[in-house]
Amino acid sequence: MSRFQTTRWSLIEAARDDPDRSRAALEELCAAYRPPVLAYVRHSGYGRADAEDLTQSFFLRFLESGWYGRADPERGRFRSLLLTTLRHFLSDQRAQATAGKRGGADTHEGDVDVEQIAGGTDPEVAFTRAWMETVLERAMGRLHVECARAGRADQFRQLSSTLVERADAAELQAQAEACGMRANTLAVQAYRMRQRLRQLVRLELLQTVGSREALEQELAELRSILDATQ
Amino acid sequence: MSGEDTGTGRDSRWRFDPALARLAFGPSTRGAPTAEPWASSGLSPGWLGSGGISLDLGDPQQREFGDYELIEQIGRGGMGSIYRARQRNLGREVAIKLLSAGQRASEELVDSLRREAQHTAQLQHPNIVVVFEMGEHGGLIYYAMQLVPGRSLSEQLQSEGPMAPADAARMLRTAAEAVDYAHRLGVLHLDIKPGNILINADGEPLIADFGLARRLEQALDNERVSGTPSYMAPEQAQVQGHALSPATDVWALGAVLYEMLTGQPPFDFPDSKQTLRLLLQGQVRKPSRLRPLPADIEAICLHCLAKDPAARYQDARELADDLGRYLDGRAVSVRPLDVLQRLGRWTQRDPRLAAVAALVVCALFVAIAATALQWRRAERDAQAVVLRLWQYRRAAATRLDHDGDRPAALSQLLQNIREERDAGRTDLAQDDLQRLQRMRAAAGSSGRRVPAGGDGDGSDK
Repeated sequence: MSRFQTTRWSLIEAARDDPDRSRAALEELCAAYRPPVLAYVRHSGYGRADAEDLTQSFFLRFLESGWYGRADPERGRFRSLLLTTLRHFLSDQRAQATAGKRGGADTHEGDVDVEQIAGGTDPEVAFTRAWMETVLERAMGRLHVECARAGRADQFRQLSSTLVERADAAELQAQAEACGMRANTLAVQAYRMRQRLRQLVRLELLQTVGSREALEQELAELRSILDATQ
Repeated sequence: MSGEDTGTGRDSRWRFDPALARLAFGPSTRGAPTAEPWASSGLSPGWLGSGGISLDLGDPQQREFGDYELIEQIGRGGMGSIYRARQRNLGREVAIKLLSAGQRASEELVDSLRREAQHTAQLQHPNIVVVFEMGEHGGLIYYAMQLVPGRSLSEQLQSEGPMAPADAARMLRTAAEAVDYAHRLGVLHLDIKPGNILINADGEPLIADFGLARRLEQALDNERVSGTPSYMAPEQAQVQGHALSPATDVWALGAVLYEMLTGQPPFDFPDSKQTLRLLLQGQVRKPSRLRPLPADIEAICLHCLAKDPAARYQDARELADDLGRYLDGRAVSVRPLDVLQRLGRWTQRDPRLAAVAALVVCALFVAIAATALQWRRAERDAQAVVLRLWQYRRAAATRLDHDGDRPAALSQLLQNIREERDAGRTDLAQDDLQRLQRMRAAAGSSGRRVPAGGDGDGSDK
């Protein structure tokens, strides 16, 4: 999987010098991390349709205006870059909307649907949780692919449900019997799968940060947000 | 939270589960200062059974371990399980140690352990277990090492109890020499304990986990470490303690010796906190209070267990040398002997030479006695000769007097008196003087003259 071999930060750096060459990679990146952006916009008070449009135009602007060029891969993280840029983008949008209203231009104001804001969650929290969900989903997807390649797609299906649940001995035994394996084998497989998932999550995150130190910081920050929003 | 909740509207196959997120985004490094909520929620390796990973070797899939085929479990420690395994590409049997906390191993940790393993792989000593490699397979950290058929010292002590002082000294001397070898190459063990000393079929000790044990311990969670501080030096138990040095391993060797001699380590409580407190504040109980022991081996043991590292043997070589002296019956450096004790040790140590020396001394005494006897006999003989001479002169004087040569007779007696006085025989001198006076009296009555010199000499006393 070549896309995991180059960090996204290096793609962003390359895009600064040669936008055409990295355009495809950046587009892929933006497609992957569209959900957190959409979540932020939705929780900022926009209706579904508006949010979809705004997200689309945000990524277009992000790619075309070269905002990513301002990022400092040595210190920054892709997540914070995306969030900061998005915050500015939305505040610009609001300013334009206000100006447009004064000038009588056509605006999206009518689409703003405060009722639909899910639970009134803070947009940044919504963004971060969606971000984690995306990372986790990508890691799980990759784990699935790896298992399938090793001819263990069935095992993946069985075990993905037990990754976080506490399986007592009897439950484990029953599950093992159901698939004709020893309980011990199943336990070890689940254990290895958990291990691999953790590795894949880190690999995924490593693409969005500049260094291993930054990775640990990123993990700690994500965990604290996770704890705070429980 | 699901995809729907976040407003993304996606068809998420794996609903966002905070527990899964905690697992997946959990800290990379072990022993993180913050308690992790999932560590005790059944997600830790403990979930697989107490003591970490337990593989079922009846299952062919679990026997496969990279280049190794796991054959049987041969041990289980605080840090993981040990298996006898076959290394396929080299066709040899090795021991594989699987670490029980592999689940939370960061790549950095694995890298650092691998470097450490490469470092310790350079230790080539008949009494050090060779480490072949350290690696990670299937998410489990392992290291491959020399397979030592036999049992650990800990197992031996458990089944057979304390050892005879000489056997303990012999085994510990070998171990101390191996430790000294590693120290010379700049590798400290820092976790020497009976469980880390393996005894092969010949009864020779081999020290395992050199240079690795400490790193592993640091790497694993505290609660997961077998962690009895019974063999730990005080400076290891303190944050601001002395720097760790060869003397730190000397302490541990002393603690092992203590257990070999008495059957229990110097500080041993089920509660490791209490053990630590005693280690830092308490005094080591003399091993002889637990079991009668030779004073020398006790002195060696207690010298290793000095709280101040500077007061211990400075390296394992000094310890080995003293154990050698103890085994040879010579004075140990930590307990000097007086001359008689030394003599006693020497006769025990080298009875044949001692016997020869004793014979020489006896012969000398006999010779001196014999000479003295001869001397006295000669003296006695000489005295008899003198007595006979005086007697002869007395007889000669009587005869000369009788023949009328009175001056010659008196001269004979005068000579006798002079010699008898010189020899301290005043009794004889008195007799001869009376005899001389009788002759002079007789001479006076017959009108004959007595020589003037003889008269003066003879009558003045």
